[in-house]
Amino acid sequence: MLEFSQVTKRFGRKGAPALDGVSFTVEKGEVFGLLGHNGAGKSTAVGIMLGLVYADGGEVKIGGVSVQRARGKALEKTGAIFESPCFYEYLSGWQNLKIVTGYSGYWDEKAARETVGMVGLTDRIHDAVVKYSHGMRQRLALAQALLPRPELLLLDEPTDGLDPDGVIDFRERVRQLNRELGVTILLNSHLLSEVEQVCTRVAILREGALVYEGGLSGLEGEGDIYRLEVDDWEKAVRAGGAQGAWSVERGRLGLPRGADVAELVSALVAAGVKVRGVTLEEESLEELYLRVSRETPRRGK
Amino acid sequence: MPILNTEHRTPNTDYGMNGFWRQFKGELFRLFARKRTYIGFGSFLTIEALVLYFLQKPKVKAFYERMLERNGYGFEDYFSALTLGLIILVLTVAILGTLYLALVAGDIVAKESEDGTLRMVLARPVSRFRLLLVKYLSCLTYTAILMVFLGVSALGVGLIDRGWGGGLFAFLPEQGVFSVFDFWPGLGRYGLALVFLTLSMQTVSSIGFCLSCQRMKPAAATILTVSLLFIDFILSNMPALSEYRHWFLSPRLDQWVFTLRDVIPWARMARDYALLFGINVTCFVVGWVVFQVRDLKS
Repeated sequence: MLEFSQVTKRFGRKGAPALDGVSFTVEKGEVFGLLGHNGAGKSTAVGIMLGLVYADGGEVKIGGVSVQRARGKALEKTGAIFESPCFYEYLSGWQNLKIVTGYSGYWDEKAARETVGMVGLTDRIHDAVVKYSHGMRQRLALAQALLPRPELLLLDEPTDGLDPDGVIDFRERVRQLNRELGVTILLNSHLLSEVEQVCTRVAILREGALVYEGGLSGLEGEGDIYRLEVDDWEKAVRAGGAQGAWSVERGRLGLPRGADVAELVSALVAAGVKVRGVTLEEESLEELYLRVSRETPRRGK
Repeated sequence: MPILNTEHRTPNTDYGMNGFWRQFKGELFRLFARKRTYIGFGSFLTIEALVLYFLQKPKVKAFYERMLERNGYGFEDYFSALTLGLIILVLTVAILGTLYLALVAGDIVAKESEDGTLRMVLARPVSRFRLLLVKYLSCLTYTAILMVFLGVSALGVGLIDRGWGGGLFAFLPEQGVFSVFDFWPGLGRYGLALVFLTLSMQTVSSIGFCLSCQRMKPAAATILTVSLLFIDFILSNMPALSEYRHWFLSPRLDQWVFTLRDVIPWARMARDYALLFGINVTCFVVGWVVFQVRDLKS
């Protein structure tokens, strides 16, 4: 659905690159998280996806159409929400929707009413936006993003400034859109818990470079990690090696995906290793984030 | 219960003239929905009333009476609604017109860029050129509506004070205009002057629009527009630069007053308005080129 290929962007001639040859892919129907510290290049990446920011190199394709070459066509089925949603304050929510949707080349009153109902703004949609709370603005932003009936939704820090109820509500709506309408979602956030609860895959940016792309545990594609309690670690590693296992660090053994842990235990026991405990270890997103962050320290730190 | 009853499918979109018209109407609606538009229009009415007040002063009336009667015209016949309307229009535009249009045009892109609404709109499949064209045309339309409002309200104020009838006395010594017309020809000349004044003011809006497309705050775009026009006016009126007056914009912007001469110099006006049209197009193109290459980031 979204291909971000070797994208490079530098603001100013002497500045460090905001994005440095970043590539990742968002598959159709998935909820993809774009993670990174402040200034990592997440919003720049979203800006490039929407053609608001020009890339120095590389290409972004949405639904197979290049944003750089045919921006209008690429964005036809894309909706976007930015952090701190901005509207024409003196107009009502409805008037805002009408004006903004007009720039997508259509206005369907029935669809608009339905979308407004879906985001829970029916009662207040004719009030001036200046009277809206932050949560209501975010819901209006979601409504405007949904009005082109998008196949891809780009959410740039969508829950910034929302209260806990608002965050939970927004998260549930995002899940619902993905589950029931099959909307592909790219969620750009620095809130690990939010990404962990909503996304199925993530990319982590650090200093404008992609340092990770994959599943939430960080081990997808390689295998599973088991914490082993054994009497002789070296012997266990040798015996496990015959089963394709590898030592991650002392006490932690990696096993290829699909391999049977029972066979590993049998092999260890057969080799004379006393096995006192085997635990499947799942790396949390926070652990994953900290690990890749440790591996790639920030500039000047 | 399904999240949506209608099919979740991107609708048929219209990027042709219908779509353009919808966007243009939306932009115009946005401009006229602002409270400040009506505050501005109210300010113009206040200034018109203020000018009328000063025109009632005995010494002002005596000045016009002297001027008319010295040339063989009756004061009561020519110090009419049309004459008052013209004086009020000229003074109101001079006092507030340029500043107000610079404010509106200076805001049109820069304010949206500052507020963040531009990013929301440009996240849509609309090109920057088209967005700017919609905004530019709505800005020109706004200018035209404002000028018609000023022309009609100035005449209305004159009618309230002097009633129907009487001729038009056009006295603009800077431009060498001293003419008198009967009511109907006078009304025609008043309308013609308003049309050309509107065309002149389009250039003020175009300059403001061009600056609004640059990477600057809306207030800076407004101040720069007013400053440019003010400097141009000062320089064009310096005796030492009289030989180079044709280099400046102000004399071109003043061409509308020639519609009030007995014999309208159409060829000269056509040349100068073609030049102003060229400046307008240049302003749009420069604004668009600068805007096109800009990164729009929060």
